[in-house]
Amino acid sequence: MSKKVRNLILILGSIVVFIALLLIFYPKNNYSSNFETNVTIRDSSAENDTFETSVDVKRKGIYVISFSFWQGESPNYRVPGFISGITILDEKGNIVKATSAGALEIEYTPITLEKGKYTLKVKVLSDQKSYDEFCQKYLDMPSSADTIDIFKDGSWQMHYNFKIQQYVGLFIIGLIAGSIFLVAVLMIPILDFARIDNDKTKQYDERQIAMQGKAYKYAFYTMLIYFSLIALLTLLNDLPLFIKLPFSSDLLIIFGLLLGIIVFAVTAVMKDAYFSLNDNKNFFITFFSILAFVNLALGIYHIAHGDIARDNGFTMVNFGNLLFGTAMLVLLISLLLKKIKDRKED
Amino acid sequence: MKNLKLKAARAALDLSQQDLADKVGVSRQTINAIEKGDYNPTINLCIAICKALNKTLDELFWDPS
Repeated sequence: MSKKVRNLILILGSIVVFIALLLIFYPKNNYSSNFETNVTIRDSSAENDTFETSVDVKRKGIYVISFSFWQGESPNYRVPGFISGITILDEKGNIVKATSAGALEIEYTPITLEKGKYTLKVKVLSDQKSYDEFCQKYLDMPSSADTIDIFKDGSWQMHYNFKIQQYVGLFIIGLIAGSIFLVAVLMIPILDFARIDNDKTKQYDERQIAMQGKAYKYAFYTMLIYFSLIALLTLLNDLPLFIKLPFSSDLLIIFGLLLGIIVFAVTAVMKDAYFSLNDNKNFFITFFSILAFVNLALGIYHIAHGDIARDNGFTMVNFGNLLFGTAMLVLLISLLLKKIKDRKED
Repeated sequence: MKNLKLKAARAALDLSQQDLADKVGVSRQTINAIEKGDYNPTINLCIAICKALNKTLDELFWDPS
């Protein structure tokens, strides 16, 4: 093994150890608060029109604020006969976020939060006037379209969830682990390290180049079929009785790209056209094993903490690493199978 | 169709598939694929193989049938 390869393995090993330590010791600064309440409206007036819940943020950092609310037994966006005016206030009473809706699930872009108590205040807006006033006061804009049809008398069981999750940490680690996967698998044909000789150029023979062409063709058709299906499903999604896809759109796109990459890589591996003549295969198998392990570990971590999926399905943030890890594992299995096959032929 | 003439010529020189592959600058799997008839090499590769085995194109790649 050359000195260059040994150094690279050392660097990668250090990164893995660093990530593992971060995973073990990184404080999990996630805070949440949920409550259920019965809202009764008679003569356009709520019996109890203000509710609140709070969370205590223990250290300053970058956080993602998210909340959801709905009426009924399951989070399926059933709208009650009133609008909830939501304000999130910091300890000093400053408005951090404000919005209004009948039912909603929202995750804001990450923001820096100071240490302290954050309160989610819910104001029941039971008529057009109170709604207009809320919009003017907190959203600094006129109320949206005429909402007169929404306001009704009645009683509704409401569910409110409020979450503040630390942004830096697992997300960044997950992003790095996922990115290394993408870079590694895509760039293998042009990366110029881990060679068994000092030749700077990749050396593929004519059969390998022809087989790579086949692999690209299979990957292209796979992606074509996949994205056509997704386009069709998305079009049909609005139709009644059609099952809504439990994946976010970014996840669907990444999955399609991943599918193409894996079809290319596995085909090229099985046709012996993935590595060039002067690549060090053992180095890449070790490297891919580390990547598969890190991504799968992050995926399993999210499963163990019950945040692999959210109310409306799987998202890229928490599900991505499991996806990358599985893809990496598929590639790794194909590399090992090929190695066994080659050994038998020898 | 299997290329037994190539396999015989290689064996006559006591060369392994890897040895021949190294001589002509291709992978062992490429030599294996040519011998098994799974891959038809270009004329350039045929010439390189012939030179490595001290044979002519006719001797290795011409099928009289």
